[in-house]
Amino acid sequence: MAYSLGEYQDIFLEEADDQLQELNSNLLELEQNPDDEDTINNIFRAAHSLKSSAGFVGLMDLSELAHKMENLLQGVRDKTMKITPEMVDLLFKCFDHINLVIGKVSQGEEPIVDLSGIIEEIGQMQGRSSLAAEEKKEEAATDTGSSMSENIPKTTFSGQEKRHLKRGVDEGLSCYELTIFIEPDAPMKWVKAQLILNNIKNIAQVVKTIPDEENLTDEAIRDVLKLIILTDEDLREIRSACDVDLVNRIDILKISMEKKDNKFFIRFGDKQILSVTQDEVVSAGNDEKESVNSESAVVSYADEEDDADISESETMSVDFSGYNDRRESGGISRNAPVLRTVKVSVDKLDDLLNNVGELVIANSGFFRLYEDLKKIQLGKNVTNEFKNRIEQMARIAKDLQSGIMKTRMVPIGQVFSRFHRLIRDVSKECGKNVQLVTRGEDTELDKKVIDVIGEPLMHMIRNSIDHGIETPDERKSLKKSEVATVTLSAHQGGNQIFVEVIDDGRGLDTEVIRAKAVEKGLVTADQAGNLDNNEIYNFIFHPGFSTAKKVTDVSGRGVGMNVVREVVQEMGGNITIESEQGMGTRFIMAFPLTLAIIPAIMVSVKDETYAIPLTDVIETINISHKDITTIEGHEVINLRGEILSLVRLSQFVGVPLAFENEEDIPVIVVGYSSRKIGLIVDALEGKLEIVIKSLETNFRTVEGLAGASILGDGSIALILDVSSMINKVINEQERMSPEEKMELIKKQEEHYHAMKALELDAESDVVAEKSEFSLPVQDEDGETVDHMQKDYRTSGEEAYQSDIGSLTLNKKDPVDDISDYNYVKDEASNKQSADSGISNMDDYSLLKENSDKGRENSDFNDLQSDIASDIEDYEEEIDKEKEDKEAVDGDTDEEKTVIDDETGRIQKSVSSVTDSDSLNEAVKAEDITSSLEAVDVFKNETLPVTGHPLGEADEKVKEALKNFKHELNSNMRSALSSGDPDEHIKKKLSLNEDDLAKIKLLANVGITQAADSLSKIIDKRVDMAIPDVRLVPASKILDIEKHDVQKYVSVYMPLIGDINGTVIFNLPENSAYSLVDDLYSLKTGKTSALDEDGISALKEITNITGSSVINAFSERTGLSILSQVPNLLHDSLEAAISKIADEQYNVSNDYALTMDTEFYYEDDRIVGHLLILPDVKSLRVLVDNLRDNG
Amino acid sequence: MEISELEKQQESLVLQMGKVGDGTVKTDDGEEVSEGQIVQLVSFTLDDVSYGVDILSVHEILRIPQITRLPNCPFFIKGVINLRGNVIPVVDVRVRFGFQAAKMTEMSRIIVIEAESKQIGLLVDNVSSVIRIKDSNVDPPTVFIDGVSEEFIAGVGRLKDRLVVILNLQNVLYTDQEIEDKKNLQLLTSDRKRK
Repeated sequence: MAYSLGEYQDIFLEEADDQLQELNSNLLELEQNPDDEDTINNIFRAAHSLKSSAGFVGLMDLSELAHKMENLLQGVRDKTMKITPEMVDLLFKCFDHINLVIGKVSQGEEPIVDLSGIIEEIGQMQGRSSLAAEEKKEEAATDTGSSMSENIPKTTFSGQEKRHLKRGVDEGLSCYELTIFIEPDAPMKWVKAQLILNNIKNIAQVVKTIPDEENLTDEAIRDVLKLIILTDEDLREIRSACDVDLVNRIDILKISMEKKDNKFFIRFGDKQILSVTQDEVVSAGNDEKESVNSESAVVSYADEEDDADISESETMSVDFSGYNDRRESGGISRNAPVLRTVKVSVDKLDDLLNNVGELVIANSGFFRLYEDLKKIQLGKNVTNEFKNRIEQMARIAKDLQSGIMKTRMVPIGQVFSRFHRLIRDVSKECGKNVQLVTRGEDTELDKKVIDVIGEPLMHMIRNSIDHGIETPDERKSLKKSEVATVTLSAHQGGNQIFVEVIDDGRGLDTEVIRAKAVEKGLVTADQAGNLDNNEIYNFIFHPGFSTAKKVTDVSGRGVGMNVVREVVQEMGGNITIESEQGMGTRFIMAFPLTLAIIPAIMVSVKDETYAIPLTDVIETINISHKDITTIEGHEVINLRGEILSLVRLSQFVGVPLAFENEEDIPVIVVGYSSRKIGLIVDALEGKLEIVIKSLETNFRTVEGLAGASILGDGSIALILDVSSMINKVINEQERMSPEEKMELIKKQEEHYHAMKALELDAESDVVAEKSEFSLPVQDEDGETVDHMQKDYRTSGEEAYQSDIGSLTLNKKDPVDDISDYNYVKDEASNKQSADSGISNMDDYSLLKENSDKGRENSDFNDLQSDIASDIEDYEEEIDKEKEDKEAVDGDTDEEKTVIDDETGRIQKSVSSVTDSDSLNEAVKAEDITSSLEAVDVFKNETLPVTGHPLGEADEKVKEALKNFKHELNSNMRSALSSGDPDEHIKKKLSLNEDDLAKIKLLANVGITQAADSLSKIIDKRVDMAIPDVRLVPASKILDIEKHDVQKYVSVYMPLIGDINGTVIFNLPENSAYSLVDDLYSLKTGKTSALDEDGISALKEITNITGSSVINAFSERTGLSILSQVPNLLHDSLEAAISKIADEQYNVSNDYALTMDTEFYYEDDRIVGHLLILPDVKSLRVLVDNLRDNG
Repeated sequence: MEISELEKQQESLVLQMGKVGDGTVKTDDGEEVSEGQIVQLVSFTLDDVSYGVDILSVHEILRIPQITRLPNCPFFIKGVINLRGNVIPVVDVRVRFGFQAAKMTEMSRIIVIEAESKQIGLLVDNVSSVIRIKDSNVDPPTVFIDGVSEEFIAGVGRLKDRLVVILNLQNVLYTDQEIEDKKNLQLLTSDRKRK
């Protein structure tokens, strides 16, 4: 197995190579101009980066060397040292060493290069040429570094130990000598030694320890612990056993025994330096081979009886000059790192991408050509063949394009993931407890940015941990969580990609920075006082600026942030700092979305073409002029129940309004984060792949533009920046004063109420008045009619909007909300179709109907709480309305059909009313009334009547509104006085909340199982809503079901045994058909009626689904429940349920427990809903049983 | 000058521009001066006044290509053009200098210059010739030039028969307000440095 530094080896090698080159060239320059500060800074930076990256991949020696170089240069930078030729020589020598290490690594070899010599030389150099006192700490470190090898005690064996060794080896165990280097500064080394020893003892027999096990004191250990062990574990295991905090290095020597001439030789193999931070270990196999080589020292004599010490061979410490010789003799030549990646200049990629972009565009020309060819009828074969070829070419072009794209765009996750390790190491070094959170790893950045972003991120993270984050104790005292968080996040916003480093540490201390800036002479004290926070933060980007009190290995030299800003700016980005003292700091790097091909929708206004990135486009719709409503000068439309602000692109880009169609105005709905607007354009020009060119390169950012793109014909199309457009629109809206907003709301409410009142008022005189106010329709030509229509439409929509609101407000149960919402959604789509399809008269009626529905919905809820009292009144009214209806019958044909429809509906409703009990009737009656009212209103409005101006009508409307409110209030009062209906039911059944909770739990379990088995049968994922468990009056079972004109297939299955009741599976007709299709693996949409097979399939499904509920119930309660043969009804839901309810709940049964849930397919399409109705006696049994079982 | 002659001159401009070479050069006044003492200007005329742009900052001179209007930009930004794949803003020099906007003609040209490492196109009515002036004949901008903000005037060159306004177009892309802001900022920072 080749030596490897892990997955970042390639990156490291590339970087190190670059840095070395930079170092070399800069050093040459420095030799010429010893006083050039820039050059010193450059060398310093390169050394700093090298240190970081070497440390990162685990090349600790190299990192240390770079650290020493940095120290040396620090002296030069501080002007405490002078550049001498000796120093330059030494630095070059250092580079050679580094080069050697990198060369070895790139060849897959272990970099065993002893750097201690050169490190010591630097130390000496520093001592000699230092003009001022050196940092003592560094010196100390240098000393220990050089003296380390002398600390290693010699290995000797006693006779007993040798016997032990031999026995072990004979048993097939491997013998190793472990030399463990403990960090010289580490406290309580003996504890660490003990820890390692214990770990090792778990996996190996320890033959000998040096120093003696009994003697493991701090003084004795002197940073090095030696162990001779016998084990059958592999090196990896050993390494992890030794990998204790603050262990610097682990050397492993394989010891083998050879018998020769009746004597045993103990042979020491090659040293393997296992740095603790290193993932890969050289396999043991290498050793054996090496140990035979002449280079490895064969040591020792001594037979079994001989007590003479066996001295250890010096572990191989390779002299640099030795390598040099070998290199020259052709043994090993330093090749450039062999990499699997090729560095390509981004410019070349740019060109390539441009060309490919044009290829794709050129290709689309062929399709036009094909269309033309088809027209001249060359014969099918030719054109087809032509088309095939085009498509093939298009495919290849696309592949090519996406291939090149891929080479450029790289997810930032790979950069982020590097830092888990760094955070762990650095936080350990600093004695802090830090976790890394990464967000937006999938965000793709240009390769160029990805390549360079690692280094700035590394600096910032190190800074954050070293300076920003408090020690665990401090955090504790500040009542912060002890584990600090560093967050790396990336996201795209507009035409920029943001990469952030966020810590929750102590934040930047503006005072300290200010003071330091003054001290460094960057500003005077006076000036400093006037600077705002941002200006102060910017000081930390200044070269050599550091507020750290001590220089550590990690940071504090003040190089970091300087490098960071340089790199970010080089990439055309910028960096900003947000900081809150005590709360943390956020570094935000913003990079432009440089070169990228993006799909875009091309639109035109006047003769200008603009591109809208497809990622910003939600949909494109066509609207007609009359769909547009103006609220406070802002144009809006209702898009499926949502108010969508419109922006005229022509206005935004400042071209005069083009001729506008009344119909088919193209609108592009664009969104940015959660906001959206509709862009009115003149025409859609189609989809195109475009290359973003920044406008900033030669100009600047332009509001509303993300850049420009060069099209196939060489012309320029500007790319719209949706985020800034939306922000602009929103700003404008937010600029409205609260009064204006109130006005807006009031206006909307008025619309709503006017609509309400129009529908509600059944009084004939009011109707008469209303007919008067439709007068203008007749007076002016078409336009006014349009206007009226628009008014109606808007108010209807708003009424409907409010309905959603009121639903949400009224309902407490989330399930209801969801189902209601779905219902409402259906309404919305109905409405949409109505809007688009029909004009004039039909439009009116449909609108009415929709409004009715919306209103029903809200009224229904109100009425639910009203235990009806005035049924008779309503019945009277029904009669009255019927008479009215007859009167209406005499009108025009067109009207008649509409009215006939209404009548049919009413009759149907009436018939179902007779089946239901009081409350239902009340509700029905209300429905009918309103329907009839609608008819009335309709009738009257279309009649040409002369009368009063609009103002009067307005008053009438208000009056009607007042009446309505009054009525509503009295209804609510009566509902309130009678209390919560559930309460008295509970009382009557002597149930408490606890019981109900248990039943709910039971229902949950049962229905979950049902969903499970349903999904198994149909082999699709089935989602379910949370079951809605309720105690209701028997009459209200129906209320749980939503009023729905749709036909349903209801399969019901009576339950007998300890529990009586019914399980009902209600499927909307279409859903039932598609379920049958699924079950018989038919083509979707094939089934359009239920035949015998279909019926039996649905019954079977219900059987299985229902049974799983019953089984769950049985299991939980221990009751025996049996199901009977399912029956099937194919009718409206109301009819079906009332029939089933009739069978189950005769008049004597007053209350019912309903468990109701809905099943959905993955795509939110409804499967159906399951309703479980145990009868009241069984409910008692169920509750008692649940109570007994706890 | 005949139009055809002018055109010919314009065509040969590119050639002339490259012809800065050996030892001494003749100025337009016929003086022989050494190369270091000469200022070479690409000149154009607006409303009978000659203006010159330092030839070293000029990249190339183009006939009018398709110009794409840029919305939400200062009024003097004519739009952007595609110069071999680069998107370059075009400043209508007439408008920028406060003259009445004029129609583009056959004679109109775009002078592409580099300022602050950005390429900028200058839309001018015509490009007449390259003018060579001895640097001692260039005066600081003391003469008040009608209309043109002193911001853009680097100096005035004296030829025998006429004057040439030598332009400094570093800030031609910015509005007056922006230029002022920029200057204040520079003042502030240089102040800081001095202290």
